[in-house]
Amino acid sequence: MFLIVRPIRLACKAFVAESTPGQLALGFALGVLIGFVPKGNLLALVLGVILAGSRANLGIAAATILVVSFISPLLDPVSHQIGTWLLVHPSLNSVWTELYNTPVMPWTAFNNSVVLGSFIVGVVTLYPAYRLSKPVFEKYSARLTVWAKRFWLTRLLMGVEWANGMSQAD
Amino acid sequence: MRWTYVIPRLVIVALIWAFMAFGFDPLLRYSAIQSLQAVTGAKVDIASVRTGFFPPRFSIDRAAVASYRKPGVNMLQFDSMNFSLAGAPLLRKSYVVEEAAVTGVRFGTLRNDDGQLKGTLQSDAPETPSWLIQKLTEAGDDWLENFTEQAKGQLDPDTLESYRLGNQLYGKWDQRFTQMNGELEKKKQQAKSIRKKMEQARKAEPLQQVELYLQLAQQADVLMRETRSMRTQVQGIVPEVRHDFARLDQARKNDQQQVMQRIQLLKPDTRRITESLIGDQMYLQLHQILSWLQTARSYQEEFRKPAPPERQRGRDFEFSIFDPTPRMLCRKISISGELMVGSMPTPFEAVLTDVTSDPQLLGKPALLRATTVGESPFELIVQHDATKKITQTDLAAEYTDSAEQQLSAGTPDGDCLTARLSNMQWVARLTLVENQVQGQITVSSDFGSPEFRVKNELAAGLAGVVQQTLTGIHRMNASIRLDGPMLKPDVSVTSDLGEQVATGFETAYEEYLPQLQSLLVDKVSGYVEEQRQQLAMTFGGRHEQLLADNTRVLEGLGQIRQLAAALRSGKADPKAVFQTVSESGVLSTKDQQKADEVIQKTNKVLDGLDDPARAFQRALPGLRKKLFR
Repeated sequence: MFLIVRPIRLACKAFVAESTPGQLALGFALGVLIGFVPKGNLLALVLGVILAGSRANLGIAAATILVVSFISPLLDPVSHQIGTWLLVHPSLNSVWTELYNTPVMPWTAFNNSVVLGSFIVGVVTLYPAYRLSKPVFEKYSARLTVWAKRFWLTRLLMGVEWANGMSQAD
Repeated sequence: MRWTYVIPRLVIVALIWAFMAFGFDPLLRYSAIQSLQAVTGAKVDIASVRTGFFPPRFSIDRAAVASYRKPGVNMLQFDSMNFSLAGAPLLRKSYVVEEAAVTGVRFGTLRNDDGQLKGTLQSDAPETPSWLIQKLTEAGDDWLENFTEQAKGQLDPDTLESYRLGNQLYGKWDQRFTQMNGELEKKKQQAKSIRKKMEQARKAEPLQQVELYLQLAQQADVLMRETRSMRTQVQGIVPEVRHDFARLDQARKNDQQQVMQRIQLLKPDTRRITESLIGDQMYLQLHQILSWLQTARSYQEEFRKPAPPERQRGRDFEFSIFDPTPRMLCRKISISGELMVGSMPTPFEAVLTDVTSDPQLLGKPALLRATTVGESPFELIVQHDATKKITQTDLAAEYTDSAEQQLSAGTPDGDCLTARLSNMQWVARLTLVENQVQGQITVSSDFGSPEFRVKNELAAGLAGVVQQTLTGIHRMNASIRLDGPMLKPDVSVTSDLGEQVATGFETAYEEYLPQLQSLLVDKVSGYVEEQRQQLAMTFGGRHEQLLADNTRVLEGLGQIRQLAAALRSGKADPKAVFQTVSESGVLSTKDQQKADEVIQKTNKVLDGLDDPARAFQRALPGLRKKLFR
């Protein structure tokens, strides 16, 4: 039984525990970015890979993506305006044409006004989200850990840890 | 090892791998089913979908697309479809299939369910086009019915002038004689009246008798003149009868002369023959081809227009492409399966090339070539050119039907013409521009085993000759031309079969003509003779009777007249007066006897005037009785 529980416990720890406030904040910021961008295109997938490859906290990122994805349609008019302005701008036409003729790029759907606009909005809000969320995580991450231990699942996992530690001590 | 870093990433990778390995294909299958159902409007069943990424490939196993118009039937079914996507265009979001293969294709197979989607309004069964209904209605067998009716009509006496004239003359003379008999009857009544008055005059005083007799004689005189006039008329009938007989004879000659002309008019209409014998088959074949074209056109239009997204976020901007490629292009699709050709499953192979969502960009028309092998080979070539503004579809098909087809015109229990066609070779060339169709379908076939049966025994001889003549026809060619809107084209059928059959009928007439002519001539002569005998027999007797009655009346009136003349001259012997009256014949037998008694008594009285004493003695007993009663 302990062989089954251990990987799960480690996975849970990796997702929600043992992260610095900086990692939590980075996860939050990337979650906001990915949450803004409409899914179903290569751009969202690439951002997800970037998220997975970074040291950001994946749990916070996943939760943020979920929440922001529900909110982002409300910002579609703004994203559409921004994206349309960029895509029709004469000075950028050559850039877009080059990108459009580059392999793989059409799959990113960058030529869609909402996709581009949301991406720009997400990139713009990336650093502010990080900077604003980091103090919050610094202040509340310890309390968050204490709060998490109130749940029987957390205690169960930690109880197993103690059992392991005791058996090894013997 | 930082497991807290590695493990979550491994979990994510594992989840993605699991999705791609176990979830991607089912998801793709579901998407394909939903998309095809949205396009076809009917159920789509796909057993499985398999994908590969290196190289990109796509396979569908055991798919069936139900028919929207025919519940319980599959419009299309195939065992497998495999195609590979070209990598370079795929990176640019273009789906280019270099080569695809579809195997086990079948059409019109049965389903376990009705194949209809729940909640969809099922359209009514496709109505038969109005032009087809009209053509099938027009392709009647009335030419055959008209032929036998005309042939029968040639033997109908009412068509003969002599027969009609004979009936007319009979009616005329019947009326004349009836009229003359009526008039004579009136004369008889008048004479009878005069006789009656003479009887009454007998009772009067002698002097009054004479006066009355004179009056009656005058009346008799008038009556006699009228009766003589009538007699003259009756005698004058004979020249008129001779004249009418001459007319009858002339009518007989006219009928004989017109026999030849009438027979020539019996040649049936070639167009009607063609429509009746092969029109149905050709129109139905054309309707089948047009239905295929129409169905293909409707689906092609459905595939062309993009499916509108349910929720479109934003707007897509298109930029110039350096090496433009259609969004979807299939360079070559190899199709194999079975076709029902003349209700026989026949293997076929087809190649479809250059099917694309943007023909104008590609610059090449789509081309379909299909062939079958076997006893009934079939070859079809369809070129769909949408590279220009106006879409044009050209269809060329050649098909050989080795099965025998039966032709028939008429009804089994009436006049019926049947024959067999074999080794039919169909060639179709059609062009569809927008919704206008133009083209031609030709068929060439062996013709044999003609049979012609008629119900009328009189026409049986002619039918036999016709059948013998039709055995000389060995080959038949027909073509159907159409031009106009696809839903209601102008259609016309032409064929040498109609001309050959009509010529056969005409040849048969010419061969049968001497017999027919002889038959008609005999018929005409027979009718005329019958009419003459009827006239002579019926009216000859009546004429004789009329003359005899007339003569008797005249004789009676003549005696009265003589008596009147004698009385006027004063030379009448009273005895002779009474004798004349009694012998005039105007009295009946009974009256004659009474008159004789009176004459005897008168004679006695008159004799008494010569010897009164003797007369008194003879009358004494009587007188004594009267005096001493």
